[in-house]
Amino acid sequence: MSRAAQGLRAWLLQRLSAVYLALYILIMPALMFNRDLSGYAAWRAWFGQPSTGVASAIFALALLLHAWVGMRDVLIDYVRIVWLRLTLLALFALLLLGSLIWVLRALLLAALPAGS
Amino acid sequence: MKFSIYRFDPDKDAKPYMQDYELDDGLLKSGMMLLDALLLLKARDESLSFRRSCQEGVCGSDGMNINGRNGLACITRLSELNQPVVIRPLPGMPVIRDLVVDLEQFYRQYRNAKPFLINEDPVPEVERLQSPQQREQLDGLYECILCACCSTACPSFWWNPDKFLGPAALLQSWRFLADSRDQATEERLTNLEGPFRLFRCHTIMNCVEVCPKGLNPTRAIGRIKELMVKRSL
Repeated sequence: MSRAAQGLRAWLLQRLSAVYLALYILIMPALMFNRDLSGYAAWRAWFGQPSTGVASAIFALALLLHAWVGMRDVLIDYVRIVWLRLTLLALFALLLLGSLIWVLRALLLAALPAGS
Repeated sequence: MKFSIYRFDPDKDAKPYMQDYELDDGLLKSGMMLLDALLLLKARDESLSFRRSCQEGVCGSDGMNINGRNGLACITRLSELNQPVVIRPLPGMPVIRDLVVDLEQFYRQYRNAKPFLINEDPVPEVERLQSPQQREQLDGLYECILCACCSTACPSFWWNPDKFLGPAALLQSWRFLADSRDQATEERLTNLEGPFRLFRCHTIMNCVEVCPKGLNPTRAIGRIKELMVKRSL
């Protein structure tokens, strides 16, 4: 990664993802407010819709990128031992990547026809 | 009036300690500044060390941590301080003696910001002129007296004083980026790239809170980021 990417791009990524997170957190509950979403089937149908599914997938991606930049900042500030910092960064990257795969899998399963 | 002052003489003391002092209220006049009280205390105990020069908030020598807040002793009113007045050296800097700290790290970052005009044009017969509007861009930037109150109040500077430029140096960076006569914008911005030099700033704003001249390094840092975004587009 270039030096520019480590500084400005990470910072921009954090800001832009924050905007998306804020919009999603405001709009999603508003959209869900007037719907009958009681029960598993209703939830699954709601998140199985392409629009909500894609919006939620982007939300998960934005959340994880946001968390990555934030966590990286904390580790750069406080962990001075380079090998320890790199190990923690790698562990956190794995955790985030795992979370992303898990969320995307859940969303994909919701989008498939029920029972499959 | 009661004082509790950080004392450390590396030749004699194994570790720093706080020493209590008391000044007769009869000695204190209204409108007296903390520096006046320190000078009275020094007259009594001449081993007490601190820096001072102009005594009117212009030179920036007597930056210290006063009741937990960085400030200049010469423009801090005694009447506004809670007792005992706890005085410590500027945080995070190596202590040379008592309230005197080694600011080499701070000056190194200042030098890193190249705090001078870079202009490759031939030197004109007269001054390099600016319009009043161009000159206005430097207000709130050129007034910095390098007292180090801001940078030594900045947690990001505490953690990475060798890599993060700190609010004072970044204010100067913006002071020259904002100068219509400067031609080194590209070079200056490139120098600030990477995760450390500029981007360790997390807008904590301690710098704005403590600046004795009322300057706003956080805004200057924000303007640098804006310029970087514009450049990258």
